[in-house]
Amino acid sequence: MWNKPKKEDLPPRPEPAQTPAAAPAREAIPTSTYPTRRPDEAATRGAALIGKSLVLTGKISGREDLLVDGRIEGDVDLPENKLTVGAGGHVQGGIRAREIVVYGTVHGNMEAAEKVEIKRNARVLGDMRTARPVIEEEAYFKGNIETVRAEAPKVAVQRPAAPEPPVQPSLPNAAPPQPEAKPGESRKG
Amino acid sequence: MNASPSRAAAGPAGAAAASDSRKSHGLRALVAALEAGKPLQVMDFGGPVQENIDFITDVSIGAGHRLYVDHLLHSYEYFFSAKEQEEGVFRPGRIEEFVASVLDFPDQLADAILIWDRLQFFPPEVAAAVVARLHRLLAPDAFLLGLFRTDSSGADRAPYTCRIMDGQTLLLSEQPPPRHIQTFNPRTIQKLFQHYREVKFFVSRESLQEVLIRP
Repeated sequence: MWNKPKKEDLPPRPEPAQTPAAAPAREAIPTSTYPTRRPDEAATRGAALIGKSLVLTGKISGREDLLVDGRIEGDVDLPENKLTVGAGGHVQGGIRAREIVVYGTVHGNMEAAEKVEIKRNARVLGDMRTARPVIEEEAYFKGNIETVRAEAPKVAVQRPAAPEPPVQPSLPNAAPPQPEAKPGESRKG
Repeated sequence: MNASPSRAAAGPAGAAAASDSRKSHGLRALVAALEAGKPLQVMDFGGPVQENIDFITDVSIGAGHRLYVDHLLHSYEYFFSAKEQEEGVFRPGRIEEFVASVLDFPDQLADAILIWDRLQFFPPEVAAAVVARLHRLLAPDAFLLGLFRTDSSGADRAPYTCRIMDGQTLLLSEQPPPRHIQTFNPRTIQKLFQHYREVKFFVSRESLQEVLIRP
């Protein structure tokens, strides 16, 4: 992000209301990393979980949905899946996923082919690039938003066997793909 | 401006206050400038508003401009201590630090800036420093759209959330809590933007001055 996010840019975050479920238990119960409140039970069912006491440093990549209630310091790359940052979750790094939903904190750039959704009370410092940006108004967001066209879903179509087409000579002067313009490069000095 | 305000219920997302829907000549001029057929860089310092995000960035509606979003007032309130805000006294270099931290962009980056009514909620020295920085931030043919309440009653006011409903309609709703507000009139607005090339006022029947400014 070209506006270098700084920690001091973050406004004070209101303390979450104490819920009865969060009150200390009388009996000594082994602490679980399983979150007491999941953002969207149905939407995150079956997702891999980084529990609230876990801190991961390094890059995460894979092919399954992920719910983060702990802390990740590094990039997350789930191009075909959904990443949910829970209310207590914190990602310090870039995120690439099919869909990103943030209830907690993200400090880094986000790219999602389908949708980025920033929920109320979430805090995001970073740029986003997606087909559908959704930011609730009580969310804190500071960054650049760029909308891209949604990719058409890939559908496997079985075609009848066809004769091999004649081989086309490759074009020697074919233009290489242009790199995408970064924010701030659209204008000179 | 031929304001045609109409009262509406609370805005989307459960806005706390009643909303005013009005035709905006400033917005219309700005939108015409944005229809350049190529993606531009727009900056909205009123904070994230879904309608504005959709209107400016949606590739199916327009050119799919890039939109930088920040709530400048929240950034101000976070950066300065309560005492500094209360007394309006800042140690040397403090205002420059603030401007450098929240407006840290290359010069001439922005093709359009939406500052809405935010400048009125800053002390005069902070507003002047922000305006000077925005002047360098704007590209030569860019626009800045501002709103100024000319009501001089001295009462605290809540800042507006400004929603772009279409290319000429704004929906304004006050977002509590009320804050101390600097009163501006056309002469003080001219003075604030004295280094800008053009300051265009749109006549309003109400105590809201709409201003389109070119660097």
